[in-house]
Amino acid sequence: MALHTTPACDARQVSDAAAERFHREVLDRAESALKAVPASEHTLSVAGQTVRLRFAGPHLEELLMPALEHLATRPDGPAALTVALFDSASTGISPPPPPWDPASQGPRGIIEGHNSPRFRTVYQPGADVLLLYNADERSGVYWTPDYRRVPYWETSFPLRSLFQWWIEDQPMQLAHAAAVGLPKGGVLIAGPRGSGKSTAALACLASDLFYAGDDYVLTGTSPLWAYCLYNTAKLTRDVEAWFPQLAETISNRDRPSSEKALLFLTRSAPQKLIAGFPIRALLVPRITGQRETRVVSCGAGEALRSLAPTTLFQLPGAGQTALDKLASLVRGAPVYRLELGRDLPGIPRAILDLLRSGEGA
Amino acid sequence: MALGDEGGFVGEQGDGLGARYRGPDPGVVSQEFEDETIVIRLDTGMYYSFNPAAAAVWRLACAGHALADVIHACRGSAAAVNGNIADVWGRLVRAELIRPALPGADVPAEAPALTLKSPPRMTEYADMQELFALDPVHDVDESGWPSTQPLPATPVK
Repeated sequence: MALHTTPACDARQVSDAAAERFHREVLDRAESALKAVPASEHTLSVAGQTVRLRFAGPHLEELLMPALEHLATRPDGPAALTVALFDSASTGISPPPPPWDPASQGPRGIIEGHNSPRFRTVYQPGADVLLLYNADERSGVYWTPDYRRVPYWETSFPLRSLFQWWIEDQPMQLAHAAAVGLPKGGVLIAGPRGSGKSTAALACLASDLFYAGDDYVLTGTSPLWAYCLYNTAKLTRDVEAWFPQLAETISNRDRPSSEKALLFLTRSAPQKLIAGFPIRALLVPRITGQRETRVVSCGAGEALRSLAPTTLFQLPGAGQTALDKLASLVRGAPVYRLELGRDLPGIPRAILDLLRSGEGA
Repeated sequence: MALGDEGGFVGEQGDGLGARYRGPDPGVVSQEFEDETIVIRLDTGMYYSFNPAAAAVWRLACAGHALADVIHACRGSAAAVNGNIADVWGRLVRAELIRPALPGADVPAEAPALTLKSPPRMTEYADMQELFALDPVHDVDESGWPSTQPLPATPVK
């Protein structure tokens, strides 16, 4: 019996064919780049799964690996995700020109006609990074024209879109949130840029609490879990002055004024890093200007408003499935407003009180 | 009945009460809680919060019920509550959270009676739109790829 296909299906297949052809061509170029210059391979353990990163030359490796180096593991067994990374300036190899019209590049860098459940194609606005993901083969490509153009913020959460696509069909979700806690349980601090989540997370370094991220964390939705994906912390100039003990280990001390200070906790405070913990509560940070930090109840809607838009808007391709997973975090854990006070030691004290109380622990 | 208000969402052609709509395109995602529904437009960076009454109005609009049908279904609610329905309806249209029904679309059965406990309330949030301000279309270099980042003076090692 002949298969009946709908026009929508046909359109998707045409799109997939174009995307597949382009992905193959770029992957061929990546393989050429890996042969053109000395290559290196890193094996990571991400939420218990093996991820393999293959770098063509040392430059992207030097830029992107520090944020991930705490995940390094032995190169045993097959990889659940493999990514080839190269730039043109240092390898002399470029991908073919984009086969799409410039107008096809939409919000969040999504290339119209080159994205489907099987193939993801994004050209990150502002970073000049091409990201490709093949869901069938669980493989990706990271390319940029010139490693010297990679912005500092890209080095603080490298490959975040590739990780997001890879876990899309798994009970996991990237969250724009900080995470601090104890081995038996911790909190997600969810909020957009400037909400105080980095300050709160860094304030916890001087306490019994461990650090699992200040910007993006990987979450498990069944059971609720926070994984430390990036060992980085970013501080504005104002906030930097509150943490003088960290000044020595700022990686971009000669940065322009527009850049935040970037820290790698593997170098600044390795003893405070934790691989992950069960999520016991979700906190919505608010800067109050008061002296004391308080934890007060808040509604699920407020918590999701703090967590979901900022996460989804920065992850190309994330949609209803990602929102459902973020909502499961909100539904699965008690939610509170974290009213941040000026007294920094009071922040971890309030979180520890919550975790040790019957409500949060 | 006063329709619309700020900006007159419909009614210019006198058919506002009877116009039918459908749900938004797939670039709109939503999540419903008991006391609040969150709606996110992934293409613009806007997001919205509905109280349960506004969420009920949105659901009926997405199902193809006209504004007149919805007002009729809510006739048991207090007048002060009902007065907000047209306002929220207009804002749903302007925010493109409902789109005009396709020609020939089925007309749904009469909307079930609905008693709204509070006036429909829809809040719009634009604080994330800066993330969408980056112009994705740029000059291309000799390789054909867009270029947005300045090239540092340091030579390739």
